[in-house]
Amino acid sequence: MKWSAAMPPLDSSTTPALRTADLLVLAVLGDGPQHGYGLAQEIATRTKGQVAIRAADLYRVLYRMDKAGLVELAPAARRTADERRAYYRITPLGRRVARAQATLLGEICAAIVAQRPVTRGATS
Amino acid sequence: VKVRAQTPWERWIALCLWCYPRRFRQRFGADLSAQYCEPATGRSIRAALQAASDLARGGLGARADDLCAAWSVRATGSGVDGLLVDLRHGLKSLTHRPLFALMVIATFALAASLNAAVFAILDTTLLRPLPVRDDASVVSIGSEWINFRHSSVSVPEYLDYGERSRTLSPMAALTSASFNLVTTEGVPERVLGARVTASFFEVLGAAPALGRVFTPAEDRPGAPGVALVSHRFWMRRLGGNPGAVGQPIRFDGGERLIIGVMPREFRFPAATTDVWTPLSINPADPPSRGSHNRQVLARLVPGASLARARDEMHAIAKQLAHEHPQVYPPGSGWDVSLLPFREYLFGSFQAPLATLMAAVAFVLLIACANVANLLVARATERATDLATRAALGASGLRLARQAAIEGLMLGICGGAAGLAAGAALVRALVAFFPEALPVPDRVLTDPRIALFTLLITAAAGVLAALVTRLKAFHAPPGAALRHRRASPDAATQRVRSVLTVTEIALSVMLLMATGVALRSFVRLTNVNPGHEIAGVATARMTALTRYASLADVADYYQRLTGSVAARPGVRHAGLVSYLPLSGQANDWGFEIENYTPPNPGQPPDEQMRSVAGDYFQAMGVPLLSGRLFDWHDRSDRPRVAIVSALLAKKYFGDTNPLGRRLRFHREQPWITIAGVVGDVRNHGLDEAFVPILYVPAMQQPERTMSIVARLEPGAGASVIADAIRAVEPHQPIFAVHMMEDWVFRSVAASRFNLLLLGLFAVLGILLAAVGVYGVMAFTVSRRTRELGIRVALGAEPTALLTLVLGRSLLMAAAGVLVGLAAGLGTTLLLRTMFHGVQILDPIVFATVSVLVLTVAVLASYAPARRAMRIDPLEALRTD
Repeated sequence: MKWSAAMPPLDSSTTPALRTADLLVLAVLGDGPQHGYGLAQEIATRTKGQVAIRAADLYRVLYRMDKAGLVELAPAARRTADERRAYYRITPLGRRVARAQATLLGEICAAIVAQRPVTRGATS
Repeated sequence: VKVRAQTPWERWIALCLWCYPRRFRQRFGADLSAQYCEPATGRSIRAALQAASDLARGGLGARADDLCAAWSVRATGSGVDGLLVDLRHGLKSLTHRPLFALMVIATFALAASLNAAVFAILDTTLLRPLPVRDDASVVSIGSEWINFRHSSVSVPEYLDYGERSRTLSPMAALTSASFNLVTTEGVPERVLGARVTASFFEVLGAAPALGRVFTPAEDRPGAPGVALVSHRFWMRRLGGNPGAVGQPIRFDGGERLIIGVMPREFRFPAATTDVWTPLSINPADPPSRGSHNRQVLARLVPGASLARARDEMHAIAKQLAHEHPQVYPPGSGWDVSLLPFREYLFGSFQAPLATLMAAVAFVLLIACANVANLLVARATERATDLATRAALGASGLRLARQAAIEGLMLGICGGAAGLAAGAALVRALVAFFPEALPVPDRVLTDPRIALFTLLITAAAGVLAALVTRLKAFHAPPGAALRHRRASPDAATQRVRSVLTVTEIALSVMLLMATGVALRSFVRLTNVNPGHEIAGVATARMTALTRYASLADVADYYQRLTGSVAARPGVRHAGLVSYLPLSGQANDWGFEIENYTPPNPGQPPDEQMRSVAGDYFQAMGVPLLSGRLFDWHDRSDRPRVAIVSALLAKKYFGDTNPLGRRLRFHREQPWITIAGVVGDVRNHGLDEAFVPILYVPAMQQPERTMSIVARLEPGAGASVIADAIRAVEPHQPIFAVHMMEDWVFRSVAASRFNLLLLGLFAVLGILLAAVGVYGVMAFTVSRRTRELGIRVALGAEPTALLTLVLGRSLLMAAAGVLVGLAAGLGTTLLLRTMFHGVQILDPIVFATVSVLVLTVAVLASYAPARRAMRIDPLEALRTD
């Protein structure tokens, strides 16, 4: 099973929270390779602490996106001094998928933000 | 990456990691484990539980993701679109190799036709609703005696049951009957029918197709004569003319008005029943309670269960035994038995049919293994194709589905072809064995049979196709792509060999069953019947009603017998009330002078036959002592009897029975035993000799008797008909058979079962032979290169021959061993079908083994020759 950029990137059967997590992982990796612990830290920072993802769940996301070809293990040469940790990076496909998804979601989100609050029963 | 656990904590984390799929652990295991083993994290029990819970959730979630991905609707080629693609692909690959597809379809069709035929018979007898309303509520009431199960009921009993039972209503009595039909052509015809009370049609809930059924007034004595006819009779004799209802029909003894035609499927009490006439029962003047000669059917009242009805009838039986101790003496074992209608009709067919169904299931399994074998061979040819598709991202599940769809298509095509063949097979069985089994009218158009056949072949097709997707065949895609013509993968060979060995084992089991059945059949036909078979002609007749008194009947029969005996070509002629081996019988209770039965409640009760003329000489039953009857043993002379050797031994032991006396009833005169004759069998050759008491027909006449004539060589059974016609042109005779025919009929069911079993076994071994051939041909063609090298290195052609034949012999031997061992168990099933089955029969074991090994050698001969002829240069050039 391979993703193509034309398609919504992630499986609809996964939970919405994880789908957000997928996008978050791609967003972080979009800025450069990262190890697991760093990924979790960065996600927490970017979401202002609202999304705290546990390692067990994070690796499930990585495993799934690795299979789908969206992320991959960074070659050892790219690793920094801390050799104990594996680094992950986004693939070109992952970048395209993330951008397509973000654009789509961005439009939807913008529309929601633009909606004016409606008071129940009131006439305008 | 192996996760190496050292500290207990690390071990704990490694254990929790097993929640994740294997592929995950290989790729991320070490990294994830490292996350949890940071020195900074706590090592408390609480932390351990927290980690376990996290990892379990994450791991199971990852496994769920894997499953979703495999089934993903969005993956290319899945869903309905994908199904169409698979169907198209399947169709293409079948039409691409039409010969292959044809072979597979033919294999399935063969097995399916047998399954369809046997299932059709099974369905008609055991599964399908009978053409009566709510057949589960209809029961047959019978009498239970110490030596008889579910035998006839007497009229007073029938009246008592109807009066006392609260769970069974309505109730009907019936008795089979035959009529001499007077035809316009002048040749009288014998018609089988039944006399039934008017309630018969109410009990069965049957309505006529035309006209009406009997009214309660019509089964009273003295009512005008009416008759209902079967659909078959209406079509055959009355031209299917609706105007026939209301017209009279002439029977010997009077006209009857046809008041209705029963529907085509209504054939009770027997398939041969063509005419129903009212059975009049006069409650004011019933016949004797001891004469048990009626069958009784009844319907459970709404809400009553069979168990409740049984309890009630047992209670009624106890009451009756109390009220009539002379009829139901203690120790006679008398009771009332209730049988569900279906069991009453078809009970004796159940076990043999189940056995036959098991046998055809075996043939289907063999066919399935064979097809799997073919498909595996084909999958190997297509390994490159499949590997390419796997490399391009087709999931294992997807490839399996593709294979299953191909198998499904093959199975359904085979099933459809098999259904047509099955219908033809059933027609052939009906033509050859009209009486052996109840067979259905239609097979092809019956949705149940069609559905059953298509379902089983579809399942077999899918099963066979999925074998090809076994893990064993899955070389990593890379490997298959690299060696474009790999030598046969060892796993493929192993699976194919296992399939072939399975086939051989299954067909060995079938052959064993056939062998054992054949041996028992041969033993059966070699049994000494106790009388002559060859050159004995028989015919049955009912004296015309013109001969009213029994004395007239006796005179009439004497004239007829004399006429037959006087014909050229006839050595002896005589009469008997029931022929040996005909299955018809009649037993009477009697009392012997100066003899006390060991069980006082159980007076002697044995088979009784009326005989006249030179019956014993004509049948070739030897006289052992005393004298035979002659025409002087008339009713005005002292009454005499002849006993069979077994009867003499049973009641008189070693003492001389001649001159001893017996009587049937207290009021009747004593009968003196005048002779002892040899024993005969009653129902069939598979039965032991029965004690028989013979009385002269002139003293104990019967209206319906069989005439027996011993013929000179070259004379035909038609002399009987000619001789009788010379005396009485209007006397119908029926069942004109040579004694050989009776023997044939008495073993007909066994012969039928044997023939079917044999057919299944032959087809089974043929399929297995095809399997062996397939594997060996495949092996040789795949190993051409290797064999070529051997030749190039100086191997003798005979060595190659031995190599190939040895391998197929090895497979055959393995199959024979497994089959013989497993066959021991299945042969036990044959006890339901054949007489005196011997399980451990060394002759059968040896014959089957030799036969199967020979077939294996023959089947691999052609591939072996091909191996011998391999040209090393040619072989090495092929890439």
